Amino acid sequence: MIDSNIQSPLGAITQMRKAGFPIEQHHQLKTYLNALTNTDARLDAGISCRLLKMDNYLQGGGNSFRLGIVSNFSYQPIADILRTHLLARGIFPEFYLTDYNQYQYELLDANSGLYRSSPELTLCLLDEHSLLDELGSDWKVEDIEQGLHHKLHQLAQFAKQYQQQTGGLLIFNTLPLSRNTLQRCLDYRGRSQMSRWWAQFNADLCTLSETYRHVFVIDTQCLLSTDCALRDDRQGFYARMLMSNELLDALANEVATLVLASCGMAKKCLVVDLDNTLWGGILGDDGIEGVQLSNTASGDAFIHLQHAIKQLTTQGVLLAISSKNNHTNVIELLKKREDMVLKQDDFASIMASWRPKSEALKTISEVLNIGEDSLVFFDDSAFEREEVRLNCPKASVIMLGDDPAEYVTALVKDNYFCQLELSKEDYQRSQLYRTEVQRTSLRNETNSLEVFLQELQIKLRLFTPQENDLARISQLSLRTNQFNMTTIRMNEGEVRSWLAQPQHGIIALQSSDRFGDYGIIGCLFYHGDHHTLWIDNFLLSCRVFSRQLETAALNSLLNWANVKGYDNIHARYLPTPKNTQIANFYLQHNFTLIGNHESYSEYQYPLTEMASIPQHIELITSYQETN
Amino acid sequence: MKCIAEFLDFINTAMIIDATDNELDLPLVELGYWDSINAMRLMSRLESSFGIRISMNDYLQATTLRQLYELTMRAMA
Repeated sequence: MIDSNIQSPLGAITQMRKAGFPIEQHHQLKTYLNALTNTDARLDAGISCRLLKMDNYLQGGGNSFRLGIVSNFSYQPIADILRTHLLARGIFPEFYLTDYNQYQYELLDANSGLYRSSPELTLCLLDEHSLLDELGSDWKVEDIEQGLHHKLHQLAQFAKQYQQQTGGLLIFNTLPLSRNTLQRCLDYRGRSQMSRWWAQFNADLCTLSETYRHVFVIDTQCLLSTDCALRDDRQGFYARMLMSNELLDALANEVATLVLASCGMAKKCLVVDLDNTLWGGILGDDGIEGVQLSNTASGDAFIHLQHAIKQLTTQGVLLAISSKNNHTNVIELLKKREDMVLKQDDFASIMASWRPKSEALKTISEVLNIGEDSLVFFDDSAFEREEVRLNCPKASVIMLGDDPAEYVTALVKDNYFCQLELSKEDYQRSQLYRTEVQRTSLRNETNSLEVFLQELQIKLRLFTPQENDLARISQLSLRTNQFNMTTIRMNEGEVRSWLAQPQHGIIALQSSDRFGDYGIIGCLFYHGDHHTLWIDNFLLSCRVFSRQLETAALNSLLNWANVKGYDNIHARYLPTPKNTQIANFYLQHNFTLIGNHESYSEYQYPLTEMASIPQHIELITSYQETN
Repeated sequence: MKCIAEFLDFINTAMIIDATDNELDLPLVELGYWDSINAMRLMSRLESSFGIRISMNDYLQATTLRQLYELTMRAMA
């Protein structure tokens, strides 16, 4: 029994616990946590990891996240399972947990321990007993309607109070109506009423996430529809655990997704294999007409998968191929097979060669200018998955079963690409990368960079972001790593608060050229302090590097500050492992280094004469009027 | 499951503790993490791992690891 445990991921985690979780093993810990396949194992691993020390974890390069959980029942397992889910993705959860049934007090009292812990996200986990317990044991059908009405009002109060007390997110789950409860009502017509009120309550609960920007709602019913029970009667009765561990695991997976999304850690690119992944059979053996798609019954599963992938790409996920194949063959198949749902245009990068796949992933990351940690690898071969896991460890690897009918579930199950909210730019992204190909060919045709930039006919619009732009501004602040001067991350609420402060502002950068519109691709955060204008952050999407848009935007701001009567500009650069290429940005723009601190450098620019805008950019500015 | 040593391995794995032979007769509450939630977790783990059904009354009366072992063996018989 012991021997087999040492070989298993859980056994390995036990060994690490006994060794006190040495820092140098933290990376392997992540791998083992990702390899756990069932709820019991995730729960056990989470309990083991209670002993992991946050300081050590942060030293090892991970992040931490403050998370509150309140509930009307014993919910401890969800904290342990959530610990596993988050550590598996590189985040150490700092929990604020209370005894059950304290949720009303914790959420309403401005001085509660919950609010003092300033949670970045709070899960308010409720089941039907949060309502039934308030009704007494001999409730009648009409009491349910009244009770649900009251409960909804209470949850809305929570949402309001929470918004006033803290800037974090508040997560509710819909309340499943259990069979036991429904069947206690003997009036079958009454049951329909009860079901309707219940469904209406859950629908109204979901509306809270449309009313309040900080509220998100998890659909519990939808999670229950997979192979998972609502509760175990004995656990419910003897330990007041009113949800099964399997359901808590499914909920924890959703909460982890929201945590990742709110940290801007959603993945950006799906890298797919071809043979027996996108189609049935082997292109090299079966030939272009031989691989299975609409021509065979089992080929349908691959078509189904391609449709699902296509849907991801229309929502901003980049798509790349890593296949051990002849490149010309692959391109020819993409052109000839009309039953391929995914066309050549859908792929931002096609790597077909005989090199190891880990190398292909690294190349894709360079070509698309995104981090290796933004890649998700999808391959039917266990060998290739292991090769990538070992040699490109920052990429995420999807575990696939052996039947293509199950591929779609595997693809979407872990929510790798989920964001709190998608922006206009996300829906246009695949189009944006397609026009990038046209730009590259123009670049190759022109002799000099100057001529290329002239021919692009670049326009840059600088404006004050409006309410419906704030989600995109927040997304840029969360997801931009390379051109991000101070890497101050802000969620949408924080962006709004920034704008609400006196003398504070944001300038959004929107750009287009002859090939298309890039959308909002950068922003400047600033505030005025007497005679000084501070640039608090400046960020620019990597898609539009090397066009001097940053120079145009900065110089426009300098000129505006000059006209406004400021004496000088102050700006900071905070180095991170990913933003070193812009370390000298302010020096290159004639700023003077006035302070070299351990964690940042400070620069000053005296406003004496006007700065010039690069000639190849047509500047359209409107921010001056509104500031 | 053949012997109490094997049972101890099972308990250690399921409860994330490092109990030894010396602790077989200690009150369960003195073991790490012993609370109602974990007690229920262990019960369901015993039931699913050994394919048995344990009555709640019997389970509550077992107050040491040795008594839990004996209860499990009876249920498996």
